[in-house]
Amino acid sequence: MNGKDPSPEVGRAFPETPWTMLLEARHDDTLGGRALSEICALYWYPVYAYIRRRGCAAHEAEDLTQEFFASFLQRGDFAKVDRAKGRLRSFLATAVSHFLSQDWRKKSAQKRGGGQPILSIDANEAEERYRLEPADTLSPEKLFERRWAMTVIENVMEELRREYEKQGKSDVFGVLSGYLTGNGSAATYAEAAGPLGMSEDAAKMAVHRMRKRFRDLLHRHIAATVDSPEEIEAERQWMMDAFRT
Amino acid sequence: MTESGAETSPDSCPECGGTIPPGAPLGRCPVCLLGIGGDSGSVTGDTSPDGDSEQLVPGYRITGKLGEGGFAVVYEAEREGGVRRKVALKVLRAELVSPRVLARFEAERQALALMDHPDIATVYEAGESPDGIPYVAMELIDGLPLTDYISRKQLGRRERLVLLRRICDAVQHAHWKGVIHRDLKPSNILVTEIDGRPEPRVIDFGIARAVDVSLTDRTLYTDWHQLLGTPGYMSPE
Repeated sequence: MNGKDPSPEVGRAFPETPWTMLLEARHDDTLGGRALSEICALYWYPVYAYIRRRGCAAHEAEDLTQEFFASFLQRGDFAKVDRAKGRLRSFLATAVSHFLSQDWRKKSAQKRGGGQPILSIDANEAEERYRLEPADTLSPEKLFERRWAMTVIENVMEELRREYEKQGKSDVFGVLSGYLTGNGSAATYAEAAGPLGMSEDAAKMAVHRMRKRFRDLLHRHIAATVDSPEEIEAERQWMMDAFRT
Repeated sequence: MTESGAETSPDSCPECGGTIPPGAPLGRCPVCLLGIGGDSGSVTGDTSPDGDSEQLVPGYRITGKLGEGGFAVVYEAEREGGVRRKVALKVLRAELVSPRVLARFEAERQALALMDHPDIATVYEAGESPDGIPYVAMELIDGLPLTDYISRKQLGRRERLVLLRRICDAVQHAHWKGVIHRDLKPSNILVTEIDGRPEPRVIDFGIARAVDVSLTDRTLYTDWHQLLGTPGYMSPE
């Protein structure tokens, strides 16, 4: 890829099919099933953090996170969990709460055991991240919500970074990503432009393009977790509100 | 899964004044990052010059992009000729034009046209571009979402109540006109300042519904089972 700016095709990581449709086609080794697994692989941490905040120790939380996603992806449990709202986030929040309830776990105990881990979870990384969570101020539900929103942003940022890296523009990303949230005055743009060998106007333009690409990726990532494009904006607003309340 | 520059202590965002939680990507404010994706143009302040200066709607010069919602893009624009003024120009996204989306856009236009209240964004003009894309030119509000404003100005209880009363008056006005907003939430109430005093404006009647008047003749306004609104702020029914 040798275009001027990272294009949507570079480093594409997301299916555009809504997750609810993938869920219907998740069985065995279908493309839909693999795509849904990929999405879940990106969102295991909010589930892990929720389970930890519900009082489980690290090793137990890791096992339960694996077990939860296996239940969801392989065995199709939680079929009765309401997914009328069409949001993967609210579906998983409800499902993991059911999963941790004693009744549900007793019932499903016979079905468990012996399976291969379904997600690649780095236990050390998980704990390293969990260690940064506020000690007792957030309920498990609130922690899940904030972590979900944060994970969406992290995934978008990571995809953006990879796009720039693939085009040999890691330095551009490294310097200008700091301006994504719009704190660039003329003086600071000039400051950033110097090390990149750009003019101030070129740096400003590059930041604008980076923002535009961030916005496109954000929409796409959210789109994969809702039921229709019309819900993208409401979900984005919900994520912003998750940090305000 | 990546670890994106985690920080260990909460910090304040220089842009919106909110708290940057530990572990925020690149140490940046998540609310401002999410703001890049949409309507909160005041958060990103992104009015940088680029291809946006094209003339999408005759008579309006685009001077920046304020935000992008699910259905439409909102530009900052200047009315050319006659009375020159800055406006918020909401233009339906061409790729989303469908009977249902057109109906909803039309409903918003009609709802806003019914309003005559200082705390509800005024509609100056509505129409269609030469390509048949509907647009609406509204009052440009240089403000912050309600909760951001309250945090940034550190308003006390009394000042908050004064604002709330103004907002309630605006909502009551809409109800008198037979229009229910259906998506009232802090981000749909912008607070600007006039002579140093906070002035709230209710915006985004995108999913408003008329109680006893027809907002649109289009039949596909909404499917009966479609959930519209923002879950955190919706009434239970």
